[in-house]
Amino acid sequence: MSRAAAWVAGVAGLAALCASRDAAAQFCPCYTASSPNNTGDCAIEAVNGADPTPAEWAEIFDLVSRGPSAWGTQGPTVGDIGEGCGNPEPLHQVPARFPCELLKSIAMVESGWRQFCVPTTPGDQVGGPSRTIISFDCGYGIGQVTSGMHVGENPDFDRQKVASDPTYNLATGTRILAGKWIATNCVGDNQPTIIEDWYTATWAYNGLAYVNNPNNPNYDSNRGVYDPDIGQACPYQERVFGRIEHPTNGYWPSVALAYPDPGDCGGTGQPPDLPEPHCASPTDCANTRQVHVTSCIDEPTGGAGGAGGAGATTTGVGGGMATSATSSKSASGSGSGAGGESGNAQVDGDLHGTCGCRAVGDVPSGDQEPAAITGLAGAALVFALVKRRRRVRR
Amino acid sequence: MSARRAIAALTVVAGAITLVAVATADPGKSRARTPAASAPARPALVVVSSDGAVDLVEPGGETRALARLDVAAGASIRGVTAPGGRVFLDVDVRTKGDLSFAGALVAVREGAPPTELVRDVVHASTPMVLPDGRVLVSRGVAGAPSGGASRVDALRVDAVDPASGSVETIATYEGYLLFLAGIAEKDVLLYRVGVDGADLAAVSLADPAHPTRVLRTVPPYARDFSVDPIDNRLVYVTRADATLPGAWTVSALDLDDGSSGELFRSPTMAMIPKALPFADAKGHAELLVTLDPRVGPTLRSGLDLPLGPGAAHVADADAETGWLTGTVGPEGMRAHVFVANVKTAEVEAWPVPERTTFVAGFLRGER
Repeated sequence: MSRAAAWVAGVAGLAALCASRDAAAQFCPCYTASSPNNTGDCAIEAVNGADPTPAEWAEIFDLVSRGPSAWGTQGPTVGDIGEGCGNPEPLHQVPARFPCELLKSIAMVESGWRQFCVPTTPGDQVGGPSRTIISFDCGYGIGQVTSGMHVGENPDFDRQKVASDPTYNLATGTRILAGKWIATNCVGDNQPTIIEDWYTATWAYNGLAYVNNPNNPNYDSNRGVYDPDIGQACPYQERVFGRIEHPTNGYWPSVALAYPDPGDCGGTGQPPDLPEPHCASPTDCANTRQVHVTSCIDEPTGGAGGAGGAGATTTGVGGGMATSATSSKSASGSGSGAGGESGNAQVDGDLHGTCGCRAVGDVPSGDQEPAAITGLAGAALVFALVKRRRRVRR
Repeated sequence: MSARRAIAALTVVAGAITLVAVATADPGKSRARTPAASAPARPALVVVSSDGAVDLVEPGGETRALARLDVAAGASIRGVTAPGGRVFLDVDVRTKGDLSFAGALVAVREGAPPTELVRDVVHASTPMVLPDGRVLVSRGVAGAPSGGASRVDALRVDAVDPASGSVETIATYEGYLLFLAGIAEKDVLLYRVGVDGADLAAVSLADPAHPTRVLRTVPPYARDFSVDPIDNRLVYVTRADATLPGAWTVSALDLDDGSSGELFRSPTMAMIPKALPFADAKGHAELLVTLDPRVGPTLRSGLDLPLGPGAAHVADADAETGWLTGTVGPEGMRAHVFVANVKTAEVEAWPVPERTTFVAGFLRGER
């Protein structure tokens, strides 16, 4: 079983590891379509541009978080998503909306809130005007959108705008996130307005791989809440949640999120339905936190139940967001269904619209009302069939 | 926290705290050991910083750079020291996207440029060094995504010869995780998690075919493994009873007869048991474990080794001199680096660089 390995002293990889540290601080890839170093088959050329200011970014996040009904033609279509998991709210459809705290943090993890930058790699692209950030795996822009951005792919969104328009790019990223929400099991009562209920969807946004399992023994069992100033190795969703608590440059208010019990997350198969998160950190359930309703979905809704308050804990940690109990019962039924493109760097085969997973009540095509599930009886029937899952199989 | 503050904190802790033995299995009576008149010579320490610095810290605080690795912000660097003054590190070569196999095995030695040996190393894993000098490392290739299910990867453990660069695969596994749990006599111990569950397994190094045998099926929550070289056991944390929320246990698997027993139970998963290569008064391996983070790590024998509150991660222990080193601190905080001696009960905080995030161990052998 032995084989010779390349003796790699002095190879490019070593050079990269030992190169100037200044370059790392300003890392900006641009594997544009025409680059000879574009080995990932990135399909779209980088576009020259300048990043919005932080204040302008904040406005973009607030717009995109309100979903396709708010952004209109500034983003792609996104279908409805499920709300409720029978704990106690029955599963039903609502227009897709997203916690702005989550979007801001994901974008910080993905790109550092950059749609454009002056490239530092690959070699043939270094310097020149500020242009679209394109990672080696064809992650484009602020949301590092990979799905549909490779040669030979033909997504039903505007790929040029993903490369050129920060708002459109971010909205496309939420479409992917909505697909993950649909494809994964419930957290708590499956409330889109509760930030913590996006735990598993955020996990899937990076990939349902063991590298993101909180029980992965490669991660320190004393790691606690991720703090970018410390930089603990941890699953992707913990980096996102931790950044919400440790905002970059004060770009958003700190929210001390609750975490699922790692004992509930399992270690095999897909992440199961999770109880409402209550742990004070990814590694501390002896102390507790309450869950948080997003601050950016401001419509009065009712029935979300269980959205906790200010994060009072046994340790005094926590606090943060306003937490009026809310929920939405609207079920517009419009949209094409976020079939589930991949998020950053992942090519989630079956999630690319082929898996037969769809939101309960998704309309197969067009803008028709999902008559079969608009009534409570329909919802209850579906709920009974799917047993607390967000999705059903065809 | 600065090194000065760390020293001050540990000094206060060392003077103020009386450890309370809380072990359930072997409670013992806490007792301080009178420091020896002259402790064994303190070894130099190799520490790693999040900015890619690999430093050698002498007992007096003198720090010399062994290497400066160019890493992106947020890169994980874990490693281990080896005879001959060598250090082997798993270094992230990227920090975006899927990090599953984002690591590279890098060899560092004072006076020589760092050498990248292999890539596709499991993110945030820690290499192990075999007695023959080869380096064990977990590697893999990502499998195809499978809808809402966890991805199954092609995993392997490779033994890398740093001198020749040759690579021998000693174990393969199709699953979620193939984790190096330890080295015991002629076996490499593995923790495997796959579609059908999790188990502890052993790979024979003596047999060139490297047959793998399952030692025991376990719940998929095992972590913080440590080989007890005296009683030939694998000590680890698990969640033995999934119906008991927050009930984490320290279990010990007898590598001779396959029997298993529970040593401790605690609400904290960060017990991080470490079997040390020193025998206690009863002839068993000394064990450092954190049962209550407010109290801090304690020795099973009850000997007083005041490391302070939080949990301790022991990176290295020298059986001859009694020195051990690692990090200790409350959850989620930047940990303090400690050097302690089990034989003399000395505890020291070394003035390591402020950005230190990981202790690779004591520098070993000639430099």
